[in-house]
Amino acid sequence: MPIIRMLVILTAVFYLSLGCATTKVEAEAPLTEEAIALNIQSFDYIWTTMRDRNWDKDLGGLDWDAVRDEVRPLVADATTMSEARRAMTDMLRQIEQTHLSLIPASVYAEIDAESDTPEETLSDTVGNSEMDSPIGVTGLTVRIVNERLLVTDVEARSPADNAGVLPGWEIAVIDGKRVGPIIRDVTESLGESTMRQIILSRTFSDRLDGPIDERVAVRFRDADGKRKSLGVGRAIPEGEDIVFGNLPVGPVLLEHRAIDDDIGYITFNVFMDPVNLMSDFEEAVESYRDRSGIVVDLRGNRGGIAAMAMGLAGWFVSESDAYLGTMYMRDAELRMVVNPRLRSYDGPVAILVDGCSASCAEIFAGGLRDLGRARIFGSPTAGAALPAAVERLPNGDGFMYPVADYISRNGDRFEGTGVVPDVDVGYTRNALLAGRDRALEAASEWIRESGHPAAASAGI
Amino acid sequence: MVMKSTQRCAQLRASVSIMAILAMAGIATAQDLPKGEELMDKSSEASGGDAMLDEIENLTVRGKMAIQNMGMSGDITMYMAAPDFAYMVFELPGLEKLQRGWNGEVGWETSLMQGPRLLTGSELASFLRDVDFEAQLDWRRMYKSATCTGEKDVEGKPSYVVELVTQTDEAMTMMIDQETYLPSAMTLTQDTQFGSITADILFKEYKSFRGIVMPVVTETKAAGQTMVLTIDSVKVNEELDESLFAVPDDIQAMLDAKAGAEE
Repeated sequence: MPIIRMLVILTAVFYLSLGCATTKVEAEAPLTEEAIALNIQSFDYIWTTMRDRNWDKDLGGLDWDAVRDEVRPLVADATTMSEARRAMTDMLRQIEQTHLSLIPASVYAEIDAESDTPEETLSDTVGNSEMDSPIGVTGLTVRIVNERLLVTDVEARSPADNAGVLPGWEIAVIDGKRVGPIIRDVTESLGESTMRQIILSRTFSDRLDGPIDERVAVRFRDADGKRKSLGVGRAIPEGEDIVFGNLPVGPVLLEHRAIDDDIGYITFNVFMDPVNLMSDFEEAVESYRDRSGIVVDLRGNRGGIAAMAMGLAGWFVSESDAYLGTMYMRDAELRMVVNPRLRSYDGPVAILVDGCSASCAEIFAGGLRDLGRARIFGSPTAGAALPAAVERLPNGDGFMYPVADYISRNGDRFEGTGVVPDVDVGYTRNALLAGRDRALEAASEWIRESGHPAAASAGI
Repeated sequence: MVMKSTQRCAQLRASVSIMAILAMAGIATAQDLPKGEELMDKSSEASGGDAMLDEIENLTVRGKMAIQNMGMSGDITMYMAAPDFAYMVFELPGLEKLQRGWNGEVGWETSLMQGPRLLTGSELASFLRDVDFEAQLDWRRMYKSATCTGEKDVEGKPSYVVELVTQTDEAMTMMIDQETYLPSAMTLTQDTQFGSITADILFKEYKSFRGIVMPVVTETKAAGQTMVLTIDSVKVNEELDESLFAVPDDIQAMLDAKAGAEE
């Protein structure tokens, strides 16, 4: 029975914890009878899965049978995929949990095309097609700051960089659509949700990204408040697209560098691609072992494989009984155990977060803080910390749903509240325009004041 | 177990008469049930039995694991050699490699994501029971009691329900096919470093490999997911390099560091 037991162990390892799924726009086409039947099957699968496998047996007190009676006819009567998905998504929203989403079948088109035995999906039956051009990115990172959409980072040598865009510029209009009303509408619909930043940032990023052979027309306000209308090109994002099971992830990027020779700085965008990311992270930690401290920048990191958060934390922990928190499932409680690495780093660790840090990024940051191994700088996180699974539906769409609740070691529930930084240093337009990174500055200052032996020996 | 059924029956009789009648019917059935030990002996015999024990020096099992609804699959290989050496490796292409082993002295695990660690406590005890080579075919080495408590239909196969208690007092339930006497299903609780996980296991298909009858298609439901294990090959007495069971470098470094700290 050893193999069977090993399989049981593996179930604990492969739960996902991802903030936002990738989405693409699909062409609309009238649904065939076959497509409608597949949508109804998909609805039934979703409804049953939530009833039987969501971590909350009560589903927030909803009358789930009544919800089925109300929504199933809407799916059956839908004349387009958008309508069918909207009905199913609206049903899921009633549960008021994060990590509940549908991933359109078209996102899987490339994956299925590479498969030896491609499945027939709804995209085949309704005539949806892949976009002619690959999707490109402008190189802009954006965030909502004081109800304005600001550029917080411009990737070097990207189309936006080439166009002369600078951090701190405000974006007022994208492809003829004014940004302000969208911010107001989304804010109104989300209320006090901690997800506001991640949803709005993703909304505008999706509008900036698009077919690589098309420019996006953007009207900025520069440092002097003057209007600047630019056609910003798009480029294929760096890195190889990664797929984890049924989840398309996109490129996984890790960068590291020394700051002023005394601090190591590591940043990565998602907890995925363990083959490369785990070894790259190890290499980075080893590079900065003799520095005053290490900064791990998780701003914009949307999560990934929960086991990777535990594994990466092992580089900063030396106690053998450490864990980041507990996953509460219907039939099991799993501790997110951290195995100390042979040569773990014992210097100060600062973690940077913002409203787009989600899921595993929150578990990693909050968990290490609970263990007394990190201090957190930046702005409150997305509050989307539920471990989730992704399955394929009969209609070809992907279905992400939470399988566990997560409570940190010190008893914090980040879902719906987010990780509140120890030092709240959010973005400001003035700082961005001045080329300053306030969170990184605060973290660096703390590391230098920490008195770590490496800092002392460097005469700092 | 009959005593327990009687007590339960008495409680039910006091509450609902119809339920009491049904419970009494259950007692009558329980009295007719075969003994658990007999069933386990027959099951062991059907699996290859003691006759194979002296002939087997080692086993190499290769298969595939899939969590189909999540679109994940990988290869799994296990080597076991007498008296109690074991090495297992699971590979999910591009994502994870997890290895476990026992070299007769040290139980260990290392994985890409979690790094190296030594197995200890109940987790090690469970692993040692698993890698007890002869216990795989001699159930008395593994379990100290076997009690048949009823009958159950397992996917159309009438089966006996046998409650097992391991030598280290862990309880598990095995369903034994009344026709073939091979296990048709099992429920067990596995201690992991993350916590205890209860698994419902369905043995869907068996095949004989040089006299050893093994489940080749197994469905395991645990922690909300369903995994299917398909055994592709079982090799008996292959020539295995001893180094296969040696601890990996990262585990050895951990052992050296531990020894250094104790000095």
